Amino acid sequence: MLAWPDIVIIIGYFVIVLGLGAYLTRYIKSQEDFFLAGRKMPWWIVACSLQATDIGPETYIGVTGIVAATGLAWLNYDWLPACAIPCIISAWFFVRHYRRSGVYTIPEFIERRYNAPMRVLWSVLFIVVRTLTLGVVIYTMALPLSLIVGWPWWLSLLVAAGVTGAYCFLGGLTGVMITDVLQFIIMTVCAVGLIVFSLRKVGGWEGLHSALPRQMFHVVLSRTEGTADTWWGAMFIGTLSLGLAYWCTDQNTLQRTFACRSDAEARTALVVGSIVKYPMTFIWGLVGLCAAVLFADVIVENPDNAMPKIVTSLLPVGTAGAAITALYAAGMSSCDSLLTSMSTVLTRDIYQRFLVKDKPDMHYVWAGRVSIILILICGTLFATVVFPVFGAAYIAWQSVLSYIQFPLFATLALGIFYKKATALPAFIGLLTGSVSAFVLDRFVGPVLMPYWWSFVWAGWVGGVLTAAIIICGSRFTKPYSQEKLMGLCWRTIEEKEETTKLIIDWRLWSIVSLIVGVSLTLIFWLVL
Amino acid sequence: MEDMNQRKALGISLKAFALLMIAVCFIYEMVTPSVKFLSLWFSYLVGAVLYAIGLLMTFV
Repeated sequence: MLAWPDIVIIIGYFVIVLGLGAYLTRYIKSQEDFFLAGRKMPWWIVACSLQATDIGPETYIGVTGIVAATGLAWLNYDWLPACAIPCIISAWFFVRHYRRSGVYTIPEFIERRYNAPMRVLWSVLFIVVRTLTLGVVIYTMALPLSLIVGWPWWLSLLVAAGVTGAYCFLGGLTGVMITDVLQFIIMTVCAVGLIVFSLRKVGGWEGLHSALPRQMFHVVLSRTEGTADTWWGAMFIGTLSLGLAYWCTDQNTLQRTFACRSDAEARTALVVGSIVKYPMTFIWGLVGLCAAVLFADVIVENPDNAMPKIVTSLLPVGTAGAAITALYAAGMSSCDSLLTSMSTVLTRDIYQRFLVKDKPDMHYVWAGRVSIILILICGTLFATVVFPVFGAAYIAWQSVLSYIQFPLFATLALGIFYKKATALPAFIGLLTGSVSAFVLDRFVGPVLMPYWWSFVWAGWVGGVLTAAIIICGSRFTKPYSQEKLMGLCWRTIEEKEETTKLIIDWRLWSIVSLIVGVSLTLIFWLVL
Repeated sequence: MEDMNQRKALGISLKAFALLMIAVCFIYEMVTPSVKFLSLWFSYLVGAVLYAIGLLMTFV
């Protein structure tokens, strides 16, 4: 149990975040302010916000727990294959098309490229998948409160969801992004504190290295060394599909880049964010390894308890409160992004597009606010059934994404790079690919290839199937005119490369990100 | 919302959180006889680092 100062710090943090949200309400004067932060955000706020969103409770609790149980190979989900490479691809090939078309949402872009039914399908799939994700995030956010503070489960759930919902409701995307940066800073400072105490307890790096088997430190494992989920094929090829889908097509992520002041800043934010991610997730991984040494019995019981245990056992009063606050910050930054992106899609792509048109701007701002409450209620209901169905929180989050995300990516990528792609094959391909991925992962793959099967392959199969249907089917349909595709597809207008300041040169940052990622992979494969 | 206002709002929030952390730890040390003064030095350090970042955000 926590001491009273820690509980005061946690509650104080909630009050500060709510105050910030209330203060930012004064800047909400239009839809653009509420959903896209007025398109005035600088790259550094967007970079921090992107990574604070991505480093959710599933990183804080899930990665720490799963690294404690299986080793550092899980860091590939946040390093080169599933984060840095997809971020670079997104910055170079995707973001410019979205921003140039001036859209608020990815489904809006889809309607311009394909047609209105595709927009509806994409919106519905996005809302369904993300409501499930929201449930997982709320579950992992409420877990520490009930475990550490000792509050009942339902109260933890209500507090976690209620505070986040309140500042999203008040401040919109501006509130979300500003609090994300605040949360990112608190998370980083507390993570460093946590690793100092954890390493000291296990006897430093030498003590940690000698206490655990060698393959726990490796990020590249053969199938015999690792599991079906952690061997190099699953990590470096399998997770690439998840990364591409998340960083190139996900409204949740890309909405932040739409809020940037310029194309160059949006691209830089993506790439710089991927660089920031390396040390952040490495710290969580290291804490997980320390937990494997210090609390082996806790990890056998439930890996998700590793982080709460290490916080309450090792940290002094005050810092423990800040660390739990950081844990909340991780959850809130992911939860708020989901809420704003889903409310944007629900308002712009369903309500404003099909139900209630031509109302004043503030009408849609309020529609967005009401949808935040509705989504929050659905997510909270799902949170109550996550654990019994899926097990470890991290696996749950990734499984939900893998069924549907890569088919979505295939549809959008072909929409940009294959001019002949048309709506009907895309519609059929998307549905077939998503359903196939689900059936494969749940019923076929584990039975046919139990030794090799991992959920990451379901996404690939679904995506490839979607792409095949779109390419073959589009040959039998009438292609769209050049005028319709202007600016939406690759090389349909003359591309002028911007001359930018060195600090916002995404090409330079891309090289830095690749060098850091390859170096880390080699070090944690060949050296350690 | 302009860049300066964004940084100001961020800086003030960070400083408020840091001050809260330092104040609560100080009061805890004062009212708990079993806890010696400055035994929570690490929590003060974390608070000070957060305050410094908040200060930088406001002024730089």
